[in-house]
Amino acid sequence: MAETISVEVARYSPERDTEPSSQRYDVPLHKDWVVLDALNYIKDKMDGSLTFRWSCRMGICGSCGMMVNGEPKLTCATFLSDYAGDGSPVRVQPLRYFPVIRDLVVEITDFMNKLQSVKPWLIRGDEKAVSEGEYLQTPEQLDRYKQFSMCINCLLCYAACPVYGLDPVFIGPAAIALAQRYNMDSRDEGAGERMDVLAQHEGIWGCTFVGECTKVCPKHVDPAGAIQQYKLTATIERFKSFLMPWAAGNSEMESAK
Amino acid sequence: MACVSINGANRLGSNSLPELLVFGARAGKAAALTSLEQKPPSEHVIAQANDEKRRLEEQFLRKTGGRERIATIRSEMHQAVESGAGIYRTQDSLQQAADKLQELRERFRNLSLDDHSLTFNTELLGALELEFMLEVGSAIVASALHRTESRGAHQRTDFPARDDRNFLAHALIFRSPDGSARIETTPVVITRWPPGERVYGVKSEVKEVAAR
Repeated sequence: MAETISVEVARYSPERDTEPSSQRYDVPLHKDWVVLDALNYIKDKMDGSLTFRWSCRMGICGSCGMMVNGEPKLTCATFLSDYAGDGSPVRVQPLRYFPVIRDLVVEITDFMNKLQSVKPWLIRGDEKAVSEGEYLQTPEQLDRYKQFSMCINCLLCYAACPVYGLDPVFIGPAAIALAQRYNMDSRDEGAGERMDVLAQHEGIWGCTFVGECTKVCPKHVDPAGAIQQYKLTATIERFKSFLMPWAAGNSEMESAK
Repeated sequence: MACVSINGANRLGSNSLPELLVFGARAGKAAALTSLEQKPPSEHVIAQANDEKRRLEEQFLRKTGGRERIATIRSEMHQAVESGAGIYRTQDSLQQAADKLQELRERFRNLSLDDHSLTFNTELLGALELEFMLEVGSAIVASALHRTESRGAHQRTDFPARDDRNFLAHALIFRSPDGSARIETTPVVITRWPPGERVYGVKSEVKEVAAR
């Protein structure tokens, strides 16, 4: 008989329940199994009604983020064996601070709207004609934003952020890091447009630099660093707009690229 | 399913990326424009949607007494298609896969779901995906049986040579009213690069010299 491990999973069905409960399943403990393997084992063999999001199984799609023993984790990259040993079950719950649709599935429309509001795409004043060729970039220019471009929208940073927990209006770590991904891109000219959203109280100034977002990020994006970097930029821009109103706008951003 | 033919017989895994990027973007734009021009659905479309809703309820959500699990049929399907219609195919291996898929499609009718909810029902989604995969798998196997030659990613060890006379053509597969597959072909439009023999190593150097 193979070794087993208990998994305690949060269950909630809006059609049936008034509040969430938890259910315990005993699954085989294989050395190479991650928490997501356990969930899929339960769904395939034991209980097809257990509901969770997942897709790629390799830390790229960002859809399997959940709370594992109270910490935000990508379940495809979290080994069961790390929780074995003391005999207590592994607790799997939906990502904290988000409304629950069912079991382990959370409602992410709020984040999708926030993401859209920072315009995470290249903005140009004038588009070059295709015949004029590519927008060239040096390796050094790439390095300025590359780290922020690794974000997979898994939302672990939101589930780790106590500011987002207290004030859901806060635009949050991933959206700000993704705004910086484009602000710092030498091909982009949209920093001025993004500042309208980012420099509000609900934007960067909501952040009290707790730093948990950076600790839990599975792709080492460092959202906390992005936010601090942008606070400096926004402050300089603000002073400049008082002292030299004719020069305010993109200048600080552009010179940083 | 789309057939934009930019990779010829060699539409393996990542070779599909240009198709997805270029034709996906075009399809998305076209769909958005079309939807703007659409009138509200006609009563026929609404009736069709209601029929499908009824089918989902009868066949999956309210059905009782089924005994098959999605995961069992799905893994037997993986096994059958991988071993029968994988990299190298033969009449025998393909026929075995075809028979197995036929069996699985019958067993699929005896499927049982644990999840009868209408909220984010991923088990129902899994059942529908499995139904589609069984059908697509059967179409792949039927086309491979029909194509008694080797070309690009389709390697029949019982027919190792390319046969342009009979098979320089796209296979189109149709579902007959009784559910069986019917195959028709349509000619390939050759533009810049005619099909040639794929050779490696010394042979490819010889070929290059000959071409000069």
